[in-house]
Amino acid sequence: MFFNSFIFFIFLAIVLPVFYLLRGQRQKASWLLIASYVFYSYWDWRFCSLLLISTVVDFFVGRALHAADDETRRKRLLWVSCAVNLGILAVFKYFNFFAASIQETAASMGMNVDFLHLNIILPVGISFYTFQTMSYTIDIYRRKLEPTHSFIDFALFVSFFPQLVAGPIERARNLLPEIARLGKPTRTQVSEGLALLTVGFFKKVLIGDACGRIVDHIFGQPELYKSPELLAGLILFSIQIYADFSGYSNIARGLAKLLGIELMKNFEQPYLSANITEFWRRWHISLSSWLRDYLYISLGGNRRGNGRTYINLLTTMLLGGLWHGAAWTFVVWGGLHGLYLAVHKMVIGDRKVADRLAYTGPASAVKWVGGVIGTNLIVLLTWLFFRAADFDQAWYFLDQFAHWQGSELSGRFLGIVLSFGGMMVFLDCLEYFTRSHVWVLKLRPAAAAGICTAVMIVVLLFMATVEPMPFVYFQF
Amino acid sequence: MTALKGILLFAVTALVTLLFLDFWLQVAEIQPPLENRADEGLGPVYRDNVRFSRFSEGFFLGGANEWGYLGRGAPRERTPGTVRIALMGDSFVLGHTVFERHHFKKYLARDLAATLGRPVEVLNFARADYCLWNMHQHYVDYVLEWDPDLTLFFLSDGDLTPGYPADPAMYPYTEYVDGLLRTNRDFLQSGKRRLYLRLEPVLTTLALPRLGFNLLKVIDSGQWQGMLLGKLAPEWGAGDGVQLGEVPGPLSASALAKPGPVLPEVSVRVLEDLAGRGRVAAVIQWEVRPTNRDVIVDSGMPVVELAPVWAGMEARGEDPWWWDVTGQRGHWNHAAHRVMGEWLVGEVGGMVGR
Repeated sequence: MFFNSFIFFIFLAIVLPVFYLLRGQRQKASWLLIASYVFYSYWDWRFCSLLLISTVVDFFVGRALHAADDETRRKRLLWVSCAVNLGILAVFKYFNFFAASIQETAASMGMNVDFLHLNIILPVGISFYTFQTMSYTIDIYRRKLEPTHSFIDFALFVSFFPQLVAGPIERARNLLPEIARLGKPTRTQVSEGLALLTVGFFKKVLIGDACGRIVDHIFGQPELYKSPELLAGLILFSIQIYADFSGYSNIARGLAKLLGIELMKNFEQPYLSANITEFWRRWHISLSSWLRDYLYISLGGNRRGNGRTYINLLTTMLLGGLWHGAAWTFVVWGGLHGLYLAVHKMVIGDRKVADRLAYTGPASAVKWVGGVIGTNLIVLLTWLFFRAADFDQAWYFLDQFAHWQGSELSGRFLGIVLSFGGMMVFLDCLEYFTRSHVWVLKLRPAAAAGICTAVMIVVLLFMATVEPMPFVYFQF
Repeated sequence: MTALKGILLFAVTALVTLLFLDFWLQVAEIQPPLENRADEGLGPVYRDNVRFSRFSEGFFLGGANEWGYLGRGAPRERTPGTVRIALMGDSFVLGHTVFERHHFKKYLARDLAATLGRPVEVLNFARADYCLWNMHQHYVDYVLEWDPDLTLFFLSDGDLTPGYPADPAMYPYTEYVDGLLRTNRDFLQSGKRRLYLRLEPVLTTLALPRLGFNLLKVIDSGQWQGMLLGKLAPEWGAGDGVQLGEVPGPLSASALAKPGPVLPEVSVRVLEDLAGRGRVAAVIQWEVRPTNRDVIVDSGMPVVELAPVWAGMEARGEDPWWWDVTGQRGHWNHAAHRVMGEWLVGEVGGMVGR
């Protein structure tokens, strides 16, 4: 079920009133659990079983981990959790990818291993909920978290519908306590939730989907388009993926607030970052912090010298790339980001990276703008590998950029890119300089209501007449 | 008083936001305002120099020229030595699914010019939903002013026995009365046109009313169930949403074998009239009923068949109606435009090369 579909509004029209009418945490949690499984089964009910397997295994492993004192037994238990979750991922997401890679390698050596293929589809959101539930057992293993004794609470933690299929990837220590005290949302939560929903739908439907229509055509048949059009397609994709994913995150956070639950922020105006390190503190925060806490630090982080730090950064980002999708293009995407991060780390050494513009005069602003443009340019290059169907297509784009061929539609495409880009920059600046995702609430209530109402009218009109596009990150 | 101020503030901010978003929808080419104006002689035609985009099936970014027809145009006065070909047809010929440079007219103009050794211009006067009666009226009352060397009338079964004629409340059309062909202009008195004229300033300035109009079409066509209920909707088709309108494409083999509707006499007379005028040819868009083909051939017009083009594509495993990106079947795709343009060079070259 897409958030940007009317069936989801009908779903909400049932879930929310019942949730408000129910009394008591246990009833509310049970209701949300049912709703979450209905939400997931709308896509394909069979894959609810995977969700349930992850839930059951990690619930009992968590309890056993907490009870065990013997370090060997604790390690074995953690391996069970990791093996089950990563095993599900390996089979459903990566098996065919690695099998195809083996086939290609074998074929190059004259061997035939064509039997290696599973006819399976990728369960929606599998990468998100497996990482989320793994954080639970890892945190208990590290003795940073006490296990919950409520199976319903834990099952809801794994399957909570607002963030089930595309995050934010929540930590058990944040979300479980929120679930344990489920009650009525406060007035502030309701108003913030509605504001987040409005901004989220605007970003997703009117920016993300509208960009996506053009992007899909250009990446679908790039040979039909000339250099400026291909460049526009790439820039529009960088706008689409941000609007789509941050819009989704806003909707998820807004929905959670309407249920009285606070989810973490997933984006903090990443395209206003002045360097790549800052970018990764602002982009997909729940994943980057997950990779930092459970992978980068486990590899040794920056505690084993510079050389090892660079290797750890590269390894973490390569695996982060692979997390996104089972294709070598995603690995290159992650590898490029790892390389950027390692080079940046090499350049700055032990100096701290500023987390936002510190204005000390015009020179600082110019330097900041230069940093932002430079960061966006190197990030833009990585998006090519992220979006391209394969390396041939990515090279085709690069070749067309190198052998520039003008287009009679350059002006039109420039106008489109500036319009979408301008709107995203406008929204990001509002967030950046007010330091709030719900900046609209800083206005008088009637004005805020007027803006939100108008935006939702346009969003609904657009939704009603245009085929809904799935969230880009649903495929991961 | 405070409540009134609140309501006023709400209304003003909502209105300002709507206007701002409307402006943005237009500059970002997400949704253009209505691109037509109601012409007294021809019904709805493109506004001069209007630019717009389309995303159904394919991706179109183009517009009309200063003379109000689609694409880069040419003035009425011809450049000496230039060969001029006019196209008459419906949405297939119009080509709201491809850029102008991918439209078959571009391949036709380019390759024909190379063959003839003279500049060739192909002017696209097609309109969505046009049937033969509309094409004839448009041709007689407007296109002839452009003095084309050849006008290609793209025809299918539906054009001769209209099942989807352009709205008679909005468009003129040729009719056959008392043994004579004449233009029916009843649309000038229609209530729908009067309403259209009243709303035209708003519809051609703002994008949001156009979105509202699209919504009405979804409701009117019964697709609202799919829109609301997704895959839970009864008789659900492909996709999780809405497709506006239906594309009247080729008939199936079984439909072709059945006798079609009785051919209206006006269609026969129009074909005869066109044949008598000369410098015209009929392009049969795809396999049509044998009786309809006979009528076209018997009219005396030169005939070009496109069925072999599509058969050739299908033999190569290509589907001329399939759009990979949007996963829909509909109008001719890019490959179809290219192959068709190249085919037409051989077919019409002799007609204009004399």
